[in-house]
Amino acid sequence: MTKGNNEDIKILLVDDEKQFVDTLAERLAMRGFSARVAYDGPQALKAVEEPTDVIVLDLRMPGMDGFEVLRNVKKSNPQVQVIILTGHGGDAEEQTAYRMGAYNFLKKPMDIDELLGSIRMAYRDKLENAMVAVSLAEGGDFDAARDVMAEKDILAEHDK
Amino acid sequence: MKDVQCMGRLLASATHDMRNVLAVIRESAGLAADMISLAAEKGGLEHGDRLAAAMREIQQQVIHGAELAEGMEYLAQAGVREDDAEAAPCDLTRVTRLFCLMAARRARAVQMSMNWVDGDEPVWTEASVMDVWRSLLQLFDLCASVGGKVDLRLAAGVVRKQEGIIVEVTGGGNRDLALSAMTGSPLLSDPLKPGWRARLTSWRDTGQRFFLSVRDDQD
Repeated sequence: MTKGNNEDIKILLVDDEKQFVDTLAERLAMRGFSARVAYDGPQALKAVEEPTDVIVLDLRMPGMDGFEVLRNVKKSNPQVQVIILTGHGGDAEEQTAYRMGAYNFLKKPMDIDELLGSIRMAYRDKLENAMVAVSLAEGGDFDAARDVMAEKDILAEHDK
Repeated sequence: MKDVQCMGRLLASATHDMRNVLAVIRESAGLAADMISLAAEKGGLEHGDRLAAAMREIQQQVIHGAELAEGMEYLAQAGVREDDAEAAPCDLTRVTRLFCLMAARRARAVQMSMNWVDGDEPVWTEASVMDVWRSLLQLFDLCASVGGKVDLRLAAGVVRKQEGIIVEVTGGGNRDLALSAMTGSPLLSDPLKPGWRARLTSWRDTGQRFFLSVRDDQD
């Protein structure tokens, strides 16, 4: 287990399976990650008001499901990367998630190294998006900068 | 709602739960393994190596459980879509792999082995998942009917612009009997969806390999 600079990444884990998500948070902490936990959709939307880089989100939750959380997050904080981690995932759900702007779609039970790899890539892409957006804004192209932060180009690519 | 659709919906729900159960087991075993590893760094733990091996075994079994869950999930989706005219075409590479995984226990009972060749690319067919699985079960039953003890290798592929599954009899005590039964059964007899038939044709005239295709009877 290596810790590195993992604590820089602000992670939010969202899942109604309390034992699973608590254990996952503990394992991430042992690897130097700082992960907060939410057990349902409304808690997740409240938690994302604080600085968040990557959300690991379950789909099937009582009340507000993962798609609704994803939609709200992409509306309010489009720069936040969302990785879907679900026990329920057919091809249709996967396509819907990507269309809605999910960064990746993983199925339970997953390998923690696979999840960590995905989190690191999502964080790196978020930083790159931010740098591109700053560069565009400095050049006066504010619409393009907003599009980059909202990842409209990525969504359009998925829709093709 | 038809029986198969009812079963599909319930199976999908149960599989979702099973994946969650497997996830909790895997993370808990992973956490225990992490702690054993940390303890080893700090001077060791009595029976630490044995515990670490046990945790690895749990995680391996969870991976196998997840593969079976994928098969059950795919089966559930196929059941729900059974009457859907807009059903997506099925990928024979994936269907073949999942069939071998799901039928492995039954195969062991008759001393059969079924291996699959992992293709890099999907092989799409217009036949429904359920019809392909029915056909593979018929093939399985054909081999079991000669007393089992047959080793099969299955690979999805395209032969003369027709998608299907290349069936190779690679060994087993009843290999010759199985080859003979398969040669005498060019058309698997159990009915599929109206208008669809499963055909078993000799492949490249070697007499050891066959091509299983599920196609519209009009073709």
